Formats: sequence, structure tokens, C-alpha cells
Amino acid sequence: MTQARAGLRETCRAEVEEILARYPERRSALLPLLHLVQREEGYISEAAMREVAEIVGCRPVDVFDVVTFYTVYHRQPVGKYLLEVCRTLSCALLGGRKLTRHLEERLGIQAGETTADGLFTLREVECIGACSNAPAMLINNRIYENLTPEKLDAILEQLRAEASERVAPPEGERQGLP
Amino acid sequence: MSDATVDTVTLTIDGIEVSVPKGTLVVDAARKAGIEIPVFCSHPKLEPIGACRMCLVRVEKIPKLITSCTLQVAEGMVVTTNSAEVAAARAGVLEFLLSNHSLDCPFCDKGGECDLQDHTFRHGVPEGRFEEPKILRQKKPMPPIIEKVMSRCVHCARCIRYCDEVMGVGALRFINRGVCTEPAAFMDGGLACEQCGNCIEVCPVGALTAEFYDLKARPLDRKQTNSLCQYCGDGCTMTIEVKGRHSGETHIIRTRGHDGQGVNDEFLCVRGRFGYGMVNSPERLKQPLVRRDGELVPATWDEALDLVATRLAEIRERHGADAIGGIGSEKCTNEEAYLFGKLLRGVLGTNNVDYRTEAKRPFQAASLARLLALAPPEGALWRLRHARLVVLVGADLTSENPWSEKQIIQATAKDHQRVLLAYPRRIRPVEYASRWLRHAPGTEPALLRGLAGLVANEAQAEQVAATVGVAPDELQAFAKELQDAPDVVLLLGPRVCAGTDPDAAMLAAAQLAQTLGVRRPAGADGPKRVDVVVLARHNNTRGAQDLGLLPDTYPGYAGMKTAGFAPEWGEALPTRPGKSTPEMLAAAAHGELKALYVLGANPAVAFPDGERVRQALAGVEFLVVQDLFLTPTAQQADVVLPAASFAEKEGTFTNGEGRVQRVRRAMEPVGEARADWEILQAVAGRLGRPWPYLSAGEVAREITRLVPLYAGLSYQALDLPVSNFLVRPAPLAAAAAEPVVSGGAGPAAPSGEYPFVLLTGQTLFHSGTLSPWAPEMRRLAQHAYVEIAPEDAATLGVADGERVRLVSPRGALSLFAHVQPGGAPGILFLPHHFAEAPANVLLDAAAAVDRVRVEKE
Ligand code: SF4
Ligand code: SF4
Ligand code: SF4
Ligand code: FES
Ligand code: FES
Repeated sequence: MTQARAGLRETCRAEVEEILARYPERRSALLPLLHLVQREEGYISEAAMREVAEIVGCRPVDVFDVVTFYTVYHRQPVGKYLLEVCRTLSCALLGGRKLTRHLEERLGIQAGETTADGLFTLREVECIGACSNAPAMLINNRIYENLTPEKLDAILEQLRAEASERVAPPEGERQGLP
Repeated sequence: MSDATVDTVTLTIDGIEVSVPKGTLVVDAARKAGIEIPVFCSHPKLEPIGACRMCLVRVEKIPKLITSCTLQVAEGMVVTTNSAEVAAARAGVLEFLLSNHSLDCPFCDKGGECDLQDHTFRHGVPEGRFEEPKILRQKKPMPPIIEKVMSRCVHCARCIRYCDEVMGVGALRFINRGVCTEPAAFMDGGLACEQCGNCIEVCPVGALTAEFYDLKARPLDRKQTNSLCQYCGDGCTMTIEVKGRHSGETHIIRTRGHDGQGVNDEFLCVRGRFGYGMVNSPERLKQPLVRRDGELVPATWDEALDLVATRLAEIRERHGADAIGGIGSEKCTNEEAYLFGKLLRGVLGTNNVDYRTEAKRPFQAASLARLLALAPPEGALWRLRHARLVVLVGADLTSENPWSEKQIIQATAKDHQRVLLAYPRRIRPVEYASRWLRHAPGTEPALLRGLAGLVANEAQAEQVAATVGVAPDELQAFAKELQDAPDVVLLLGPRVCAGTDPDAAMLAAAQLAQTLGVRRPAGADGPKRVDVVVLARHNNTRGAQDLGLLPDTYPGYAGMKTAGFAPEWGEALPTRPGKSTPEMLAAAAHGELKALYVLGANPAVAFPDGERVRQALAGVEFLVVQDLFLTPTAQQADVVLPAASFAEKEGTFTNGEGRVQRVRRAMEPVGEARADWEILQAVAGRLGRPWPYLSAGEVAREITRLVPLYAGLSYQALDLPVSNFLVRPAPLAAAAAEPVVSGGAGPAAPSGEYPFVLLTGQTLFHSGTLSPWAPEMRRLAQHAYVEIAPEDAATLGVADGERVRLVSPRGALSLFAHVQPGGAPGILFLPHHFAEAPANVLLDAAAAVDRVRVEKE
């Protein structure tokens, strides 16, 4: 751990209680609590997994199981903009792979990496449910459809401009509760 | 247990009609009909999950192929396993499994005994259709012992389920998804678990392996022998695998359990699975040693044996037979325990014989026999799986009797059992016990007596609670649950007899059982069933007791009745009870005991008040030690005789439940070492009493003839899958005749100079004087340490891992502090088996409770 972490029960006590109160079993609160961690801290650290395990009363390895299963949970900090390109069938047939290559080239990183300035993280993911308008991608959970390399360039430019204007991305666009 | 009322169901599998109990799974019904359905995830000990699809079959009226490992039989069901369709499904599953499999069979521990190899050979197709590059993964360690090679994993989840369902540990989970799914510990790091290695055992492929065994042997290199574990009294069956053909190079490379064999049915705990290395240790004694000019020097067997016989005869001549004593072992075979008694009593003429090396005060044989008579007739291990209430007093089951504990873990998980625990420290059973009485150390007799009184409505909860240092309502609730339970198993651990009043504790336990047993639970039409189990810490504690390594009884708890033994053992057998270990050591210190024969025991490290023990041992004129290693006791000896290990001899052990089982010779003894029974026979011969045994079996035959408790025993009857020869002493006169008294010693008052109570005992990784010689076990627990509660550590300013000095009125010891979360303030725990930090130097043989102070170093 690089820096001390205040802990969910300190920073969001009321919300934690509210989430726990929704379910008859504490364990059922596991996914929403992980979303909460990610909203607050941007990713899910080892310490956070231990804390969530303690809150819901399971073993840390149970939390680890869930966190590694769902790709929506990040185990490392991600860039300000998380680009998730679909690689499943419809998109793959319509050039999804090319989109990834294009982004890799433009950003100078490989899929799975984050740019040095911390702006972009690029990943490939499985079907995001936008097959009818393939190829598609998610940017901070917003769907972008019918993509082409040209459209990608425009989007990147727009995001860069936006980032230089604002210190932080607007609330709703950060990784949050779906 | 068969139950005649169970409904049976008849079905047809591949045209064969088979009848099985209702609830049987199709895969098991097929096996009964002689049809083998290939499986990966299905396992007889685990709940079915249908994860691997290997076992698909066609069932009439079910639209698709279905997994036979999850489907229960139904009347008239028609199953097909031998069609082209089923064959294609099997081939398809295997083709998928192999699509990303590394196929590194020549470099795989499982090569030659792998289910994936076998299934592919029988049911696979020679060529797969996948042309894409394989996704292969490197071997990854899960420290400290286990390694995984995930390119071999078939995702059956057996490892995960065994760890959950049988171990109750839950150390493993599947992580990631898709082709990268793999069993892992938290953060895919090391395993903070019991290190039992059962996950390796149940893995159908070579995906999990132990670092100690990895790439050390091929199946053909190994000679396998079915034998027993040499550690605790649960008596697990194990296969000992040795490599190397010539004596001198033969060594154990692995020990494992097998499905369907022994009381343990495949399970082994960490000591059983990885504790074999002491057999291979280069420090084993390989030839006799005799003391010349103050030094122990190598000698021939003849020299050593002659010396032993001459000196013993001389001392008997000059000082009488009672100037000689013998301390035997809870680790030797029944045959050896029996012969040790016969040597001391029949040849040398003294009843000074004992096996106990840790007890401050010895219990009477009659107290023990009374409790043993209350043991469950079908065997304690089986009973523990089915009892409704288990009461655990003074036992750290996790460390002491791991397989007994796993019975309880499996029963409580199925919700039909509750556990009540009485123990002064936080131990693992706290996790699954529904009540935990944290009584003050040393008050076990008072607690048992108090419970008996409460159950009989003859005691005041407040008074008993004050005596044992717990809250009255907790005690009351504990007693109430005891009263109300439909049936009870009372498990008594070593702490019950560790104090200065073991007979009182044992009597109280018998009274508690009897008081409970006359109660009729509400709604029941018979009296309540109450069983008592005296847990055995060592592999043959029970055998040592049964075969008379106690100063106040001949074999079979017949007391001083020599009738059965008189002509056979010798003409004039001693009839007055002899000295127990503490009495022998005291006599040695006073110069009354002139010769001491120690067989496989290590009182210098085990017996309380280490300094005095060493002086006592130094005080005897002649000390013989028969052992595997040059233990601190052996270092003081005049003659040291090298003994064979459990893996190098034949015989029987009796486990804690009274089950007599076979130990078999898996390899030649190292060097010139000999089996203890052979050595004893040689000594007797030189004392003018030639015994006629050509084998351990012949000794066993004499035991069956002379010891009624073991009548009917024959080696053939002890064969696998599991011995059904259970012994149990006859019930003695009723204990309830004596009045139930409450009261007794209360919690010891803290004293200013020595503010901490010190408890000593064993841990999961080390149980006594053998495990520390196994390098594998040393890897798991290297250093001596003392457990201290966080509050106390804070007050003293001691951090985890820092060195501290413990000082008692008897001695001092310096070791590492281990801060235990949730530990009880005021109580320290010290594992007792590290020769470099012998806990016994701190103990006071006369004190009911030991006290120390802690100093920072
Ligand atoms: S070694 Fe035993 S306790 Fe550890 S993960 Fe394997 S099965 Fe579980
Ligand atoms: S490691 Fe072995 S037991 Fe565990 S899931 Fe893989 S194949 Fe099954
Ligand atoms: S439970 Fe006891 S007998 Fe079984 S393997 Fe462990 S130490 Fe050996
Ligand atoms: S395949 Fe890409 S969105 Fe479904
Ligand atoms: S054995 Fe039946 S699904 Fe695995």
C-alpha cells in the first residue's frame, strides 16, 4: 500500500449502512459495496477488498473471486477516460479489432495500459450489448456506436480538449453505479 | 451403517438392472453395476456440482444428455452410457479440455496416474481440431508448499470444494473468468491455511503439486506400502511411497491417503502428509553408542547390548528390582509397548513403568478405564459425524486431532450438530462452536464437576461460575444445552489431565456423563445417549495404555492381577503398583532409582521442570535410551540404541477410538537401526530370558492370548479398507455411586512478580519430538515462539516478531513473540516441542497453574 486509506466505513458511513439495509443477507451487499469503493477510490485495492470482506462477513478471497470475475471492477487505477473496445463477434466482424489497433497507435500504449499522462486507459472487453450498431465501445460507461477510425480521432481530440479545460471529469461520467 | 428401512430404487443402466438406495447418484449406481463413467469434478466426499461435463449420459425421457454425477436415480429409469452419442460427448469434452492444455505429461507429477490421461486414452480422439495457438501459463507458487500449473487445470473445483466442505478452511476460490479461470488464494498469493495438501490429493490432474515432491519421481520409481500415520491418535491410513532400491539410498518421497481406505478415507492433515521427512533425516542414529570416558562413541550391537544387560543385572542384584524403571513411548507399536512391560515386569521384576512424559500428576489406570468404557462402540470418528451435540473440553482439536475435528466441521456445516467448547485460549474451534466457555486455566476438574452438579440440579451456577472464572449465565446456558440435547458426545482433551488433579477431572467427566445419561430428553422414549471420548494425542497413546505402560496396571486394565501373565512372563511378577514417571524422576534425583530405561521418550524436553529432569537423569547410575535421534535425553545416556522408525517395521497401533490397525514396513531400517521389539528381545535374551518371537506378528499372537481386551486380534482381520477391530475396556463400577461434589480449586490469583499464566501444548505443524526433525515441517514452523494477546503486547511494548524473555520461578527462556489477535489477556501460549527452546524449563511440576513474567530483550 502506497498511501493510507481512510476506509469506506469512515468516508461513506451512511451509504454503507443504506446498502446493507437493502438486503436480508449482508453478503448480498457485496457488488454494490464494490461499486461504491470504485466510485470513491477509482479502483479496488487489496485493502478495500479486505474491508469489504469484513463488512459483509466473508473471506477476503471471496471478494477477490468476485472482483476478478467482473471486468467492471478495476484492480489498478485507471486513466481519466476508460476506453473499452468490444471484441466480441458482431464488433469483431465489423472491424472492432482495427479500432483497438488504431487506438493503440494513437495513444502509444497497448490494450490494458494507461497513457503516461494518466488520461486514457485502453481495454478490450466482451460484448457490451450494442451489437446492432457494431463496432462499439464504452468511454466511462457511455456507449459509442458505429465507430470508424476517423470518428475515434475526433472523439480523442474532443476528450483531450475537455480534459485541459476541466480539472476533474464531471461526476456522472466517472466510473460509478451502473 | 446400513439401514434396512432405506427405500431402494431399481433402474437399468446399459441394459443391466441395478438396485440402489434412494438418493444415489446415477454415476454411483453405474459403478455398482460395474460400469465406469468417467468423471473429473465428481468426488465421493464432495457435494455434486456438475462442473466438468465429463460424465454425460443419455437418460430416457430427458431431452438432452445429462450429467450423471448430479442426477439422482429414479424408479424405472433407463440410462445409456455406451452409445455413440455419449462417446462423442466425452470426446468433445476432452477435446475442449486439451485445447489449452500444456500436454507436458513427461514433466508432470501426475504422469502415469492422471485422470485426464486415462480418460483421453479411453474416451478421447487422437487429434484435436483447434489450430489456434494455446494459451499456456507458467508454474506459479502458492507458498509455502503448494505450486500450481494452471495449463493443466480442468476447472473441476475439487480443490476448492474439499477445502470448503471437508477442511472448512475456504482458502481457495476461482479467480478470473473464461480460459484464465484458476483456483487461487487471496490476491493470487500464498496460502495462509492448514497446508494439509488435500487439495493436491483430490486434483484429478497435475495442476497442483507440492514443492517437496515436484518432479522427484515417476510412478514406476515408487514402491508403495499401506501403513499408518505416526502422528496423532486419529490413526489415519496412509500409503508410504519410497524411492531407491538399495538400503542406504531408500527414502520416503511422499505419503498420501487413498479414497475409500482407512478411517480417514483419503484425508491427511499437514503432519500426516508432509511430516515423513524425519525418517529420511541425516541426523537419524545409525549405530549404537556407548559412553566411554564421558563421551558417547560408536559401538557394535553386541557391545552395547551386553553392556545394557550386565549393568541392569548388576543394579538389580545390588539395589533390588525397584531401583530400575522404564519410560516407554506413545509412538511405538502395541507389540513393543507390550514387550517393554514384559521386560520391566517379567524379566527385571519391577512395576516402575510408564509412558507419560508430560503429566505433572499421573492419573490412575482405573480412572482412565472408567472413561474408555464409555466410548462409542461404533468408533468415535464415525460417532462425531452423527452426534447432535459435541462438547469439547480442554482440546485444541485443530492441532491435536485434525481428523476428529474435520468430522465435526462437516457435521456442523450440515446443520445437524452443535458444538460447545470449553477452552481457556482462542483456538480454531471458536469459529464453529455455538458456545465458548473461556474458563480459567487449570480449573478443568472444577468445571466438569460443576457441570455435573448443574445438570443434576445440585450446584449453584454462581458458585461454579466464580470458581472457574466465567459468567454465571454463560455457564447456565452451557449446562442447559447439555441437558436438553437429544444425544451428546463429550470429548476430553489433554488439558483435562494436564493439571495436578487428573483423577478428579476424570471422575467428574464420568459423573457428568452418567448424570446426563439417566435423563430422558423431552419427547424421547429412551434415555439420552451419552458417549465419552478421551482424545489420544499420539498415534499409539491408546496402545501404550491398553498394553500396560502404566505403573498400576498390567495390560488390559486388570490392575495388579498377575494371574494371566504369571507363568508366561515370569514366576514372581511384582504385585505392588510401581512408580509413575514423576515418581521415577523424583526417585532418580534422590538417588533411589539407579537405572532408567527410556524407550522412544524424551523427558528431558517434555517433563515439567526441565532443569530438575536433567539433574535427575544425570543422577541415575545407568541410563539406556532407545530412539531415532540423539535427543537431549539420549545425550545424557550411557548407552544409546538406534531404533527403526514407523516406516521401517511391522506391528499395530491402536488409535484413540480403540481401533487396532496395521503398520507396515515400507523400507529397510537406516544404518544398523533395529525395530524396538527386536532390541527388547535381544536385551531380554541377554538377561537370561530368551523370547521366541520371529516377527511382530508372533508378539501380537501372544497379546491376543494373554490380554483379554485384545482377544481375537489377528493381522489378517486388520486389512484394508478399514480395520474393524475395536477394543473397549469393560465398564467399571458406576461412578455415580460417589457423590457429585462441586467446588474445587478456583482460578489462580495473579501474582505480582509473575503476572502471566503460561499454557504449553502442541500446534498444527508440530506435535512432539518427531516433527521438528522433519525438514518439511521445519519449513512451516521454524522458530520457537510465544503467543501473547495484543493488549499485553501493547502494555509491554512488544511488537510481533520481537524477541522476549520468559522468566518463571523455575527457569528462563528467550524466544520470539507472536502477537495473536483475539488472544486472551494474561495468558501466554508456548508450543512445547522445540528442543532449542524447551518449554519445560519454565514449568513447575507442583504448580496447578504455571506463571511467568515477560521481559523485553
Ligand atoms: S492445503 Fe488444505 S487448507 Fe490449504 S488450500 Fe489446500 S485443502 Fe485448503
Ligand atoms: S487445480 Fe485441480 S482440483 Fe483444482 S480446479 Fe484445477 S483440476 Fe480441479
Ligand atoms: S489427523 Fe492425525 S493420524 Fe491423521 S494424518 Fe493428521 S496427524 Fe496423522
Ligand atoms: S459484439 Fe460488440 S457489442 Fe455485442
Ligand atoms: S463429473 Fe459430472 S459434471 Fe463433472
